[in-house]
Amino acid sequence: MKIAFLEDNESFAEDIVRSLTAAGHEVQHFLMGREYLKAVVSDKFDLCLLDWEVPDMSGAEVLASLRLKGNTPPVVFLTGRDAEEDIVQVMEAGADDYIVKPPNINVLLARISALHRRVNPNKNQAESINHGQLKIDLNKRKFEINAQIIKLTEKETELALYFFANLDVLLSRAHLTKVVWGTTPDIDTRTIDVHVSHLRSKLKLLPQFGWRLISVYHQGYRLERLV
Amino acid sequence: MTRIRFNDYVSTALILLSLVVLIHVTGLFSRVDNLIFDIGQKLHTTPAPNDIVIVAIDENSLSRLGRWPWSRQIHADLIQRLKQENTLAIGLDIVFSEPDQLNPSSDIALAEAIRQAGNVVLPVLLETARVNGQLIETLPLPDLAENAADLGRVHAVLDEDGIARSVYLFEGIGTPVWQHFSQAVLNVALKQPSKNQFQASIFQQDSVANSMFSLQQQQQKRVNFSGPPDHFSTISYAQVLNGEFAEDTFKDKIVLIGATASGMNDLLSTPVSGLGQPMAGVEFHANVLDSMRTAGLIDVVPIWLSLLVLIALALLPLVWMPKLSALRGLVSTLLYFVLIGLLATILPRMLSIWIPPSAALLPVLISYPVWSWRKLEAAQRYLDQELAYLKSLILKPDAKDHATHSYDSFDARIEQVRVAGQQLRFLQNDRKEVLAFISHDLRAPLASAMMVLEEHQQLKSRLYAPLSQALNLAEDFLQASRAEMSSRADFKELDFAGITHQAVDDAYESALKKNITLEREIVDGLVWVNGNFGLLHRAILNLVLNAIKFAPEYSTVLIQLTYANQQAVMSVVDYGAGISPDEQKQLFKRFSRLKGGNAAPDGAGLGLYFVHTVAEKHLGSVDVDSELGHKTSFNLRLPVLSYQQH
Repeated sequence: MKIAFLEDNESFAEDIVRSLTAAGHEVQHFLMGREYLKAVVSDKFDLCLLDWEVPDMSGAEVLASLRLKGNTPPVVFLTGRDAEEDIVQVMEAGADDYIVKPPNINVLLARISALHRRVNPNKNQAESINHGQLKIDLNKRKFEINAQIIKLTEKETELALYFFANLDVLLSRAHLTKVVWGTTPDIDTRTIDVHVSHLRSKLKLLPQFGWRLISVYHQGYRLERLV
Repeated sequence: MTRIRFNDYVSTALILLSLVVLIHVTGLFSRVDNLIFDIGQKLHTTPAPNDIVIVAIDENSLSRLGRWPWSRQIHADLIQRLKQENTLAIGLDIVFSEPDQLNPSSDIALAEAIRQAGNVVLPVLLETARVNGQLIETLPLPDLAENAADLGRVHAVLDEDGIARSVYLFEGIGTPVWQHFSQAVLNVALKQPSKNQFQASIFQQDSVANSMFSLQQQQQKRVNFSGPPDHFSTISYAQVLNGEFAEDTFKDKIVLIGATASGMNDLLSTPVSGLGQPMAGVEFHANVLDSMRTAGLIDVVPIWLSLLVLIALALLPLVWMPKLSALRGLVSTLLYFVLIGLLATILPRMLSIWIPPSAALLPVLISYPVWSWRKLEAAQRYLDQELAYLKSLILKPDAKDHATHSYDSFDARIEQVRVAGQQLRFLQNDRKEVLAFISHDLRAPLASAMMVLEEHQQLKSRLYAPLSQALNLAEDFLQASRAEMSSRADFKELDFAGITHQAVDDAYESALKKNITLEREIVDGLVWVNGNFGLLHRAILNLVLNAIKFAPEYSTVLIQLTYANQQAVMSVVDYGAGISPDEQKQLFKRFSRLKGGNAAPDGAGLGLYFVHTVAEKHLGSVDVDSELGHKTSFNLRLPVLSYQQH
């Protein structure tokens, strides 16, 4: 995968570049926001990975400029601050995901490939998921635990399938609402929490069964498949 | 201002109270009182009664009948004519004190006319002789007086401003024996006995000059004026004499005969008189009469009662003023001032009583400034106190010189507070900068170093422990500060059950390393609380990680979440060594580290302090139950907005 990487701390950037390259990615590293923007617009990248704070521009500015040019790859921010307001700021700016510095390399790689999968869906995608005690038939929209069929409501099924189709991807509340409830007006802000709560309970999405369904500062959700 | 003390309240009340008493007892502002009374009389008029007719000795009559005094034969003719009209009572407000020497038959004719009419009231005069100040009681001629239906004293009390507002019900020399003239006319009209308090023999004496006796007066009452001068129906004397009136003009009416011509020296200034429009004495009597029989004359309230009412009125603003803002307090007090004035004008009409309002009005007017003054004093005391405290806390040495000047004005104090506030803001900014420093500049490189260590197994064994300890310290400090600085304004509606699940999920790997089973007994539903996601998540995670740290290998840590009575209780139970009561007391304090067990002091001792702070920020609490050698249970209790079962 071709990754555009913006980071002003050279020794830290070196480490990351080394790790990503070792994992088989092609990384181009930039020190300044302006040259980064120029490169991303003229060249084609699969993913943008950038520091939230760069000397010549703010992360939000870089992101806004990227979005303005249209048709941009997914954007992942690296941020040194993990306070709620910092994360909310990053997500509200429209980032696809964020990673708190310094990143755990495995997590970073997982996030990158999750976003890549999302943007380039595999034509011959798996028809079923079988992990832990959970068995899912994606075509028939059926969920089983230890051969017991789990009954889900229509919306729960749609939400669950969307989560399983976007494993490891940070899905914002607004996005989930749009995907599952469509144009239904006046969705109660509690609705998503209620459905997520049902899914965790009915599908036993717990670490001991190989799953983790987390809320990211109440801004979005992420379903993780544990190894 | 909640800082105003009870004393300030009482002192304000005392100042106002003494003013009320002073003004009321001395009558300092009686002119203001009279002015308000007059306004009331002008504002609230009643229609003229149609059963009272004034026969006026006016300019017209003088020009037709010749100059005054007229022959008593003319009056006899008038009385005779009125007799034929069947009047109810006739008040003849003309003094007949000396016999007519030239024409004695006219006196006899008048006496006869009065006798035949049987309902004629004649006036009595009480005067101070101009020469030697003697009091003189002037009665009608004995013949006339004996034939009159009743006698009454004609008089109006002139106040110090020369305006007639009241009458005495009884007056007399030595003893107050005479009723008022209007009372006498009313007695005849209502066929009541005379209210004069003496035997008939007194009529035998001509005029009595009793200089040894002073004028005795009883029961002063104010008059409710029916309307301005010329309000009552009036007919000229000459017209009556010549029969120039409609039928039934006088039938069953009370007729008052008196002078209205301006040259006859019988004109009074009254509350209802406009400029240059005085009221004839006869119309004043008509007003007195009408006032007597309808609402009654106006009683002046006894001084103890009026004082009581005035004090209550003057102190009432103290009830609401402390509760209102400055502007509202001022406006409401002014409105109240106008209201009291209005009430005072209406009172004579509505209840026939008069309370001079000035003794309440002035204190009400100054109640706001007095209260503000007391408040300001209290504010200054408080400011001085706080300033002294702030100074000792934060002012830098070089700022101290500037600050130790005596506070001689309010402005100086405000300036001091401004300086102190600025200092506080600087300190707050300092703190934020330190936080940012720890968050970004200290934590990040430490973590980077840890990341690099992963690749160097040799170094890792030696550096991992100290590095992770330093990282944890920074992390704990950052989290505790975040909890302290969090604001309820940023809280959101959150599912506490979901957060609990997530925190337990996050502790899963740590538990696995010690082969500890995390057992969940979490209510099957959503527990909505108002909170901060990051803080609550971290608080639960701290408790769970703590439990894992102190629990023996291969044991179980139980995470419970129950809901009852609008309260959620999240308990983390471990079956480890337990915590002694002495240690329990210190647990939630800052920098308190647990000793004993297998715990390594790898944090700043802020983990439980953080939980405690988060609980308080969420209006909840955290406590611990522990049995030594058996188990420990940490309980986080939070108020719940609502519970939604699956």
